[in-house]
Amino acid sequence: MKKLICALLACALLLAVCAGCGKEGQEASFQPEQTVQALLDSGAFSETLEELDPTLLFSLSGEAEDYEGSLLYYSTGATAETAAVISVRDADQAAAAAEVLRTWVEDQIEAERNYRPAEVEKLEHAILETRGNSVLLVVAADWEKAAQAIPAK
Amino acid sequence: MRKLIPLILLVALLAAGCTSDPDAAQVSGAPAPTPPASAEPTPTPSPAPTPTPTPTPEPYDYSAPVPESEAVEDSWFADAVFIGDSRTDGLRLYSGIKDVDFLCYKGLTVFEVMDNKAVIQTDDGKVGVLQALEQKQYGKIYLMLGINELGYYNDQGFADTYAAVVDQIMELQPDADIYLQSLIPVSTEKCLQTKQPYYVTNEQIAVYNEIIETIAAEKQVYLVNVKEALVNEDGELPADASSDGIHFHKEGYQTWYQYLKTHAAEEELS
Repeated sequence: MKKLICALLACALLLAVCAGCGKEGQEASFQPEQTVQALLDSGAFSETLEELDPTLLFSLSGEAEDYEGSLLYYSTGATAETAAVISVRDADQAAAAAEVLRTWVEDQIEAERNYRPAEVEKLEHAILETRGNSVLLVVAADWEKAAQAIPAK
Repeated sequence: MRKLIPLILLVALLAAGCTSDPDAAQVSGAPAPTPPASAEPTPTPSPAPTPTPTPTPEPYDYSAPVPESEAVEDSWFADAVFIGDSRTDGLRLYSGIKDVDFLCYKGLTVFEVMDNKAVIQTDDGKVGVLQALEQKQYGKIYLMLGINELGYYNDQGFADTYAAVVDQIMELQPDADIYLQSLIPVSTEKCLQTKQPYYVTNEQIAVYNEIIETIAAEKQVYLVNVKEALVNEDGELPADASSDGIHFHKEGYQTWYQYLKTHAAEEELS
């Protein structure tokens, strides 16, 4: 009987944790404002970044509503530094968005190689991570500081 | 006596006829002829007024920058395309301009435009700027190139190639009005602080701006003196307006856009 009660309690606890994920079994997504602010406060960037509509920078497919809640901070031209959390509706969209961001980073490496070689190293150490229904992209001057500022899973 | 009376009567009649008032009734049957009334002088027709000739409009002076005018609406740029480098990309991202085409790329030069370097992403893959212009007709084309060519140390080469780019654009876009934008100076102080290439100087930018002005006059295209919107009293980009001395903060791109809105060619506006 005791074992049964313990098992039931464990299941209930597991269900409670998963309820916070939004979907049963899915890991928690990045919280855009919280995550981006932590990065901006970390000292990982060499300049002040400006908030920007992510759909202006990234060729994200679908409708604007699909990316509601997404947050992007980007350089106004001096560097390639970036802090972005793209929030989407489901895991498939998250995978597609991650691919768009990965391609963007590769294109930036190509553009900067003969233009500003110093930015290439930042781009090559870009942090690109998918969690739940969100994708994080960080291009920073100090990528180690940026990594430390990212919330643990 | 009897013979004299008729004679006297006859003489009297004759005398009466000689002295009679022409207006008075005549004793004899035939009325005295009415002398012609004094005629009104025939009016001399006034000569037709010489028509005032319609003033011939002064030909547009392409050697002078487009003057300031009332701001146009955002929609005025709906048929425009902006060609340029990373500064133009900043205009795209931060100025607030919407639903306008941009053909821009970091580090782009006039040489790469003429060589059709494939940098513009389209549905069919990457193409050169001139190839992209083959795909759509525009009403207005804004061009700003030159910052990335400062280190070439070939002023004539820059001039020849820039002019050739304009020729190509005119051929591909025969109905478009072309606006050559002056290069916006840099912040010498901030360039030194951030260790920008030594050849990025306002002296060389001034040389290139003279070249651009000459080309605008020769090709009969509009010159837009954007630089005056962003420089300080020393003719430099203020140090606090830029992170690296070359690119602007968000406000700078907004100021640039506002300048374009108040410097649309009047020929276009009429």
